[in-house]
Amino acid sequence: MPNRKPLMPAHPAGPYSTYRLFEWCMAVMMLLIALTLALPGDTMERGALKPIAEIGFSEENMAFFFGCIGSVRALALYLNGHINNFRVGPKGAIIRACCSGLSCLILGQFVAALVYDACTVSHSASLMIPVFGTLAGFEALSVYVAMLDSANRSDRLARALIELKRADV
Amino acid sequence: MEALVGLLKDTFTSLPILQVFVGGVALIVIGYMVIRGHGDRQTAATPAPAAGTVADVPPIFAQGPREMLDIMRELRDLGRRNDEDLSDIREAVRGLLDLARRMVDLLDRIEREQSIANRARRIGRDGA
Repeated sequence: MPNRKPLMPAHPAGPYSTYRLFEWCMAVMMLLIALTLALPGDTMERGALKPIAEIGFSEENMAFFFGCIGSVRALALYLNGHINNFRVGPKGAIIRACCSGLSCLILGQFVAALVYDACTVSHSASLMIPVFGTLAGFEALSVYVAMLDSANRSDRLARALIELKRADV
Repeated sequence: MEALVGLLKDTFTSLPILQVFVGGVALIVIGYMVIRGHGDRQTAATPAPAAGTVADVPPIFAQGPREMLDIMRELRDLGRRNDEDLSDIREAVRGLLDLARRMVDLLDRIEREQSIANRARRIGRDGA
């Protein structure tokens, strides 16, 4: 579909840089969550996330998961800043997309656990439901953004070659 | 509102089903976003490169014949300078080789002197 309008326009700052602020925010937030979970004390046992902890996502696993994802995202975001040479492929953006998808899934599971807790256990909705729900939704959107950024930017050289071929007679 | 809350409470009674439902919805949304982004990145116009970077300038061969000639002249000058440096290095290496040869000669002479002296002393001792 050539005339389809994209969900959001490409950023004027160049490739690999479309709306990165939210991803930076999420990467830093995941690192901080990992730190919080790694601190002594049962953060997840205390809250409404107990069912999540019971099905295997224990405190250490959660800290490990969030730490891995957050650091990989931060690294990917840091490494492909404003690079626009044809040597650099879109691997960083694809890594960003994968990490966004994983974090969207896990935040969705958080929301599910919180909704279950609000409906059956505590009979009062937690404030974390809209927070995690919104974050999950926008993480799904940042999957789109990362996939949009993952275009192979060798197009510039290819275009230049085409122009060169057209120019000589 | 009461009815809605009651319906919600009646619906979300099993956590595994809720988790599977939410995970499925999330996976569907993520898959849609991946496919959509993959499709849009083919059709979306490539944005202008960031100002003030290397990417802002067109490639050299696309800048026109005058710029190309300038750059080739510059390359020729660079090559000449490189050649001068290389000949300097060649001179220095030749000097070093000469030095080494002279050192070896000196060592040879010292060795010869020593062997002659040793032989002379031995002859003197044996004769005495």
